Amino acid sequence: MGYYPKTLERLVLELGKLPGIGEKSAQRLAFHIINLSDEEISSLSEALISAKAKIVLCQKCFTITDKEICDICENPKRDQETICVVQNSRDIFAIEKTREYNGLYHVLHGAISPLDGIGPQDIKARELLLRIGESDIKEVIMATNATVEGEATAMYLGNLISPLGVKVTRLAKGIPIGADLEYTDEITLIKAFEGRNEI
Amino acid sequence: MFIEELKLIHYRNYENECITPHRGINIIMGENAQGKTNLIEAMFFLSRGYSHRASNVAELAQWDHDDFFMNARVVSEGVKHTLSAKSHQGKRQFLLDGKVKKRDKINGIFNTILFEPDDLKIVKEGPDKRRRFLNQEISGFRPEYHYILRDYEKILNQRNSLLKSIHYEPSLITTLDVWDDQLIQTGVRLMNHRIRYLHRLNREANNLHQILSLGKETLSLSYLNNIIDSLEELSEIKNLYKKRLESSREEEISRGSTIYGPHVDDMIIQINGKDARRYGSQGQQRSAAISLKLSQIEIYYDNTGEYPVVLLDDIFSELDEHRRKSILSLLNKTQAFITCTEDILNDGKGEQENRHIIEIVQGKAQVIINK
Repeated sequence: MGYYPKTLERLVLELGKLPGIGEKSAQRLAFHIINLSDEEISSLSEALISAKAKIVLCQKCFTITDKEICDICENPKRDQETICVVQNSRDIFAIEKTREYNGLYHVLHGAISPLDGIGPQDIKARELLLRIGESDIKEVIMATNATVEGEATAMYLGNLISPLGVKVTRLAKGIPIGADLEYTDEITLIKAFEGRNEI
Repeated sequence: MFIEELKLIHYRNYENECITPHRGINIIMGENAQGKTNLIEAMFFLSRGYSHRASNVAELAQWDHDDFFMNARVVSEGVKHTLSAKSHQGKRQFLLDGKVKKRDKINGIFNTILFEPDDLKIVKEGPDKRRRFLNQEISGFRPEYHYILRDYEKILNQRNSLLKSIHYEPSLITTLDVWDDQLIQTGVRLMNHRIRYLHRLNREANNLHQILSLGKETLSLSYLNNIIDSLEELSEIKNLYKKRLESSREEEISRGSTIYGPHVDDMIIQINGKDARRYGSQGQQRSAAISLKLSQIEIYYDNTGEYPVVLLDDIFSELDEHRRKSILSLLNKTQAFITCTEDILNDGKGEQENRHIIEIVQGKAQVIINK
């Protein structure tokens, strides 16, 4: 860049590394930040540092939390016999928004993908099995992504869990609610046909 | 389905050209290197979203230009559409009636069947050419095939990668089962599509070949795969596939790749009961390739209720009078574009209605006969 002071340039570069932030946005954020009051700046930097320092993985379900055990795992009102298995913590927020699911979660932090060198050892699979072995789980819902990797992960875990006498289910695939059939992409329609229910 | 007007701007050797073809047969005539194939390529590109000659879109732009633009007025199911394609900084973009569309959303609006000299390879060369032919043609009217193929390739890549990893990390073998299951599920769907299609293609291509050979030759196609030996085993295909994978596990791990599945499928083309690839003459191979390709006209019609636009690049010069006439008679319901260096329809014996000749000289098009 050259036309900015070195310190500002560094800030722009650091912000520009963040996902979804391009050069223009990084500049705008940087200018906004240098115009903040000292108080606001310390609050922001403190928030950054403490978030990084305090956010850990829940010891039970491995979602991100700032406590040893996350709020969902700690909540006695949640159904303790059902575990919903997801690929990452963001998936939990998506499911929680529905307010329909009242069980527990388990975050794998990835999916099996040999091309990326990710095997069962690299995701929280063993932890899931231990967890099922230790507690009285009746059903495990596989809510991994509808990709070949997500499917492989669900099948792999399903094969390990079923022999333990636990019911294993997989989320259905189909037409989004409120969507017109004619605008649904072909592969989703095929899956919806395969997963059709009697009414 | 037909094309009413084609506009090309900064495309290949066309500076700014507008062509208004005939609804029937269009002869694109011109000396070599004037831009006849470029015109064919433009229509192919608009219909399929890629070029059959260039893998890099930037190659399609005129020398000294970075971007090109093409625009076609097409009539599909009686409705007029404007279909445009442009490239900007090496990226392609498609517009349907002025709105930007993803490439796979323009499928079905304007479809072409192309025959070009390279298509001889379907008969003459290795199995990959025949798989490519099957994949392209089936995707043309079965959109889901494209997705199944894409998934199959992903699963195959993952599985091959896993087979290699098992070499140095044997414990990973526990995850092979799930990839086997997915390979079987998706692979069987792919094979079913191919079997159904080949069944139809076999009938149609033999009809055409009979016509081209004056009834002297029969063409037959059979599906070759390494899972089932005959179609009677089709109902058992999943179990057989599983058994194959189980019994070849060690070998697959030591090779680091998947041996069984539709990725090694082939189609055997026989003329009078003999393998055309090995024993066919040049002329027989050419007729077989033409029959395979032009079968798409009727198959496409059966599946969609419309005839596609037929593009024949540089095949007429090699054919005798009888075959030329037979091919022309197949095209009587379609709009067709035929490139050649001379007026092939002018045999001095009439039957010259529907003759529309577009002469191409150095990237300029001129209609010289319009009947």
